[in-house]
Amino acid sequence: MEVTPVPEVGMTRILGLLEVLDDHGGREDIYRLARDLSYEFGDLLGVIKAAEILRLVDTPGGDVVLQPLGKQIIECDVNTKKSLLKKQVKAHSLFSHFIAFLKQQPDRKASREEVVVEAGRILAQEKPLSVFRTLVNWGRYTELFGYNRDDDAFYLDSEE
Amino acid sequence: MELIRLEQIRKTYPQPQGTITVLDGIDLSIPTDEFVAIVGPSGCGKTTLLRIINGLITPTSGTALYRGKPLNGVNLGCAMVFQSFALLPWLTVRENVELGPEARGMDAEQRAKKANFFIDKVGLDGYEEAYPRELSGGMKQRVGLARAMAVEPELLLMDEPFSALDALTSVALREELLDLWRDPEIPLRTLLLVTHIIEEAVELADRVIVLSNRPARILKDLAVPLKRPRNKKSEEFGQFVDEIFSLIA
Repeated sequence: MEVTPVPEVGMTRILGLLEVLDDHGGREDIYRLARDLSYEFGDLLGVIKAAEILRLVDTPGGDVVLQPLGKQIIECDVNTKKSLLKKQVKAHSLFSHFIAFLKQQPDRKASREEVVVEAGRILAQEKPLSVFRTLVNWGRYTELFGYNRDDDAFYLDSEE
Repeated sequence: MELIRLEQIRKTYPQPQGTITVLDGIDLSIPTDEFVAIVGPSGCGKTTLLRIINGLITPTSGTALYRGKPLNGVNLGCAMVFQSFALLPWLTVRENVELGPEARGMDAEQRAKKANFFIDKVGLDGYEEAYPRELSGGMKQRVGLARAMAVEPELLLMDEPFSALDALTSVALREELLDLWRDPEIPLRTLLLVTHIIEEAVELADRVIVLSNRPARILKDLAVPLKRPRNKKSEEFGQFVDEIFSLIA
């Protein structure tokens, strides 16, 4: 399966986008949204792209539209939110690749360097450190992956 | 039950060119179970007022009472959330959250239990062993919230907690703060938020105290008449924001 990249965007921003869209009745013109939020257009596009990859929003024409899963996520408690997002993250090719990668490692752990090298191998056009940071950030939020800086260990959550 | 009472609070600072008056004649009462916001122009003295309530500084004149008793030193009924997060960079998320309970003398087992509970409540499960430099602003402020709540304060003081965050992150965290306030498992009932963002005060609070330019005086004490959840795009919301803006402007 071809591995596709994801933008380096924090989960909190994605959740903020969903809240803002809900306030706007579930649909808004992307340009107008950037202006209303005083957000740099390119930065907002990155957040929207990340939310779209997770199937939380859709982008018909120049608009961004909240999807039923996005609406569900903003209405549930934090642990349900994390669990729903985990399902979406696991389904993405980048994360499923690294789940399989870690399962092949001793103790299901790899060093930062090993992950960065693998990221560079499968996504040659992307910045491998940025890929690593996204794996750690989304992985931690959804409790799919962990990273211990002291031990330099990127690992698969015990429940996986 | 009245938690805080301020009577004719005045705070001045001597300067080489003369005395600067920051607060002048502040009378304020905060009962339990209320979410109060203080708004005012930047630099008007909002943070000074918060620090007097927290017992970190004493007023030049006037009386500050907590549960009817004069404040004498740090107010242990309060915990503070800071704009700049105030995390210790050499400690992990878990260790930062445990700091509050540790400072209040809780033993290791108790504080680990408290830390686990509040780390879970703010959505930081998975980040326990991360260091602050590995976190985004939003995640850092979640640590700040968890640390403050872990001492189970009667009054949570928040000094511009979302001002250092980008627009989308602050929207998400404001919603999460309201979720925490409504959570029956968390004994967090009384909140005092200082902000210069009027929309933030109207979105979150039951009551908005409007301060003037320095020296700060209370211009108005307004109950927010809007039902929750508040629609920030509604006409009523906009009108209420405009009313406060016209007072400050």
